[in-house]
Amino acid sequence: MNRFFVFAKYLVIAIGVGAVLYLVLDHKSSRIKILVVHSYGADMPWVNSIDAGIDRAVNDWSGGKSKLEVRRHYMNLLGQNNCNFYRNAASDVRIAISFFAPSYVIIVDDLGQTLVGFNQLRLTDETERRALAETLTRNVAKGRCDLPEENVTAYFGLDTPQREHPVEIVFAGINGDETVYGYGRAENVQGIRENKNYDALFETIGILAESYLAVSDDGEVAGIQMLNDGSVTGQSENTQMRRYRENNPDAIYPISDPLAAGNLAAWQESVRAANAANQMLLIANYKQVRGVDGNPVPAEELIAWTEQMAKLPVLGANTDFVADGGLMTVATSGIEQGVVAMNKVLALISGDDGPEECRTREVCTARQYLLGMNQTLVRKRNLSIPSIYEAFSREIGTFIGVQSKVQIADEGIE
Amino acid sequence: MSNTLSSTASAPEDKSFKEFAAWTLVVALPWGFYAQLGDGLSAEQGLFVTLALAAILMWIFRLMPDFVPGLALILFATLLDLVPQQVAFSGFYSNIFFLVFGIFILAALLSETSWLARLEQLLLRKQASLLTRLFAVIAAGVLLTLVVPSPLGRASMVQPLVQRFFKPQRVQSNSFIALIHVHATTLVSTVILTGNPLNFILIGMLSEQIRDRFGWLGWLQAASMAGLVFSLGLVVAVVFIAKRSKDSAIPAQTVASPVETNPLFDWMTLGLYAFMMLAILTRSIHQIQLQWIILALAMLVFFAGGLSLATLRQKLDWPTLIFIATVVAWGPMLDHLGLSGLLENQLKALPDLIKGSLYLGMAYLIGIVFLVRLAVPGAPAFIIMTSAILPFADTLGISPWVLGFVILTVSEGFIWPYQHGVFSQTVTMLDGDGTDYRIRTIILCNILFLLLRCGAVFASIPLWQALNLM
Repeated sequence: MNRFFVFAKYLVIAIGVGAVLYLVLDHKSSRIKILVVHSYGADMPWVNSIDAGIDRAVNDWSGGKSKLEVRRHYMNLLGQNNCNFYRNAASDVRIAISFFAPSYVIIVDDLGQTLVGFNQLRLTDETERRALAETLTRNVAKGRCDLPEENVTAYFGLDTPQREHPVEIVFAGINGDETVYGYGRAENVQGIRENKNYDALFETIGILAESYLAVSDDGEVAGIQMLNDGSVTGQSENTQMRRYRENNPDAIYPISDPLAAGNLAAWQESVRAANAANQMLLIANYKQVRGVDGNPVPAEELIAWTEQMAKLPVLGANTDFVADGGLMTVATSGIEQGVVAMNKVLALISGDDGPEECRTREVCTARQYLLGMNQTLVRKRNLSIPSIYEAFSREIGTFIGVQSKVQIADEGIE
Repeated sequence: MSNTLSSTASAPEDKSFKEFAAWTLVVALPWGFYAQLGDGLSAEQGLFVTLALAAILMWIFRLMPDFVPGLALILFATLLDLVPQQVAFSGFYSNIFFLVFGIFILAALLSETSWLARLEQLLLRKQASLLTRLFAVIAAGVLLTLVVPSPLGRASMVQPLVQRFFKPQRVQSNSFIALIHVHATTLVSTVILTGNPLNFILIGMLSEQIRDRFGWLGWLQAASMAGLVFSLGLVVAVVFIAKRSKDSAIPAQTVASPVETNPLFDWMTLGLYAFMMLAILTRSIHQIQLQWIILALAMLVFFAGGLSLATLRQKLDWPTLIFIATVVAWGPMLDHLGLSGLLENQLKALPDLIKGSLYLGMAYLIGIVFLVRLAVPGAPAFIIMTSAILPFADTLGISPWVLGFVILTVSEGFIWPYQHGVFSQTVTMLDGDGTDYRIRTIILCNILFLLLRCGAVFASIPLWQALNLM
């Protein structure tokens, strides 16, 4: 009898534990897993604003956010010049995908599209896939390292498409054309481009130019010079600019062919040339300009130097431009990128068509922009900017008020 | 009589002077440091570094149990508002805390089983040779490494297997047996995640996104080459020793006393571990993190009445658990105070060396660890060095796990008894039992084992490169 009760006790315990185990496993298997892969790190305002957008979309979802499990992975590729680092970062994400087995992967910014997105695409034509893998590998390696003679595509692991867990890809933060990543040819990909609003940029340039001409006696604005770094993103930005120039021959000021400065000497030379030609600089990408030691020049140093040396006011087209020491910026909204990318995932989950302006499975273009300005630098140049710029910058927290200590490099950078 | 009196009176006196001197240093050195602080550090940073320095000195001089300085540091950091309470005490609600808590409960359960006593009986019954017996010690040491995350605990559990082998006047043979006992229970402790409390601290220092990769299996995979080198080293050592010691049959009179066994309890414990392994291997299917699996199994132990409250009080290693919880917060605290960047600046030579040549850089790192370990005990040495060196991982393009593993593997090595708990415990035991042995032999062999550890690091580099860890 005694033995019977001992056995019965263990049986009851086993049933209880089994029931709880079932509940846990059932709950775990019903979760919808979404992995957000950022090309850069969580220390960038741009990345944080995209994350904020993603959170906003999740919180606003009517389908019940407790069903979702959103994980983030930061590849920290900004300012990295070592190919090995790219290989390891790509491998880390692949392992994260195989461990976490997400159904949806949101990939933010260009580098991640090559190193992570490409392998997830369902491409049917193998020859085409291989050719594309080689082009993408060479683009990432360009100026960073020499590729092996054979089996080039294996270098960053683009030779092995991931077929274990089929995933839906949503991209965000692509500058320019997403088809370079093979995204036009696969069904399991959609997203939002980080296209700059050139109309708004040129309107702001007009305001800055007018204000500059009003305060300088013999000043002249002879044209606009876009200057970017030599990265893939920077060059793709230049392509966008060229397209805008072709389509807008009557822009308020003549637009010069955009420049890509891969190193500090070329950057400094471009700034001096713009001064000599009385051109206003427009800067979108500047974090991959290499210094004498081969490492990227810290963004704050580069922008502070540029701001100090530039004769005419400089306009930025990047979220971090004012935080990095620039005068003014008109940039794509990271929040919108995050909201739209996550909404696309949520639309796939709930099976709806998405908003009218950008249906599910369509590629969206950015519609929201943000402003930022640094009051100290505006006053230093004696510019008068419409107060709406200041009011809006203050509202969204990108306004830097007058500081007693101006953060400008005294001597310039070496 | 007077001699005895004076010697008993003078022994504590000696110690008390040492303690007085140590305490003076603990107070005076940080004080002096604080007094000469320049503008380089903010007020909060300066105060924190001063307190940390005091804690490190307390660890070095072993003035109290390891967890006390750790706890004192986070307590004062909270009271002085240097870091928010959530940051200072973050170790207590981190995943690592629950993982270690669960593992310790499972280890306490294992120590209650009679598996090792059965092995001991079997070896006696079969009149096992020295070679067999040493292999049994190694096998038990390595198997226990899977489940008992405390080298000291493992060493005590395996001790009965070797103790009968110590014989009067067999100085060399006794020394070798002690040597194998010490290394079988410590050498592979960094190869298996659950083999060493410091492994959990390393995991705690990794960022959330790569922690997953170094779960139980991932850790083993990355450390497998080191494990292979260690196993080979142990086997070679055992074969060499068995050949040197010819007369090694067990005295016939030592017949085993019958062991009290509870087969149901033993098999259920084994079943629990089998279930744990199954849960670890099927991780990608159920997606439950390791710490929750372990904690659930630990709860299961209590559901089934596997551990009494009295055993739990006695067998659970509370001090180590609290120690881990207090030091896991070091990384977040340094980050919060902006000290990580300052530490990085202090060690600028390392990145350049590693960038120049991986092998040379590793040799340099090993050298630093060796030097630090001459003065600082294992756990604090590991914490100080990882806090300073791990932030470099990003710039070097080397996984922080690799840097942490190298520091850990080398810092767990030892030459003299004061450097490692297991060795000093063994020496105390040998002296206490009046066993004849020669410490010089053991120390010389320890140097070889330390070199084996360094060799394992170098041999692992190609594997780490293939795994995209460096």
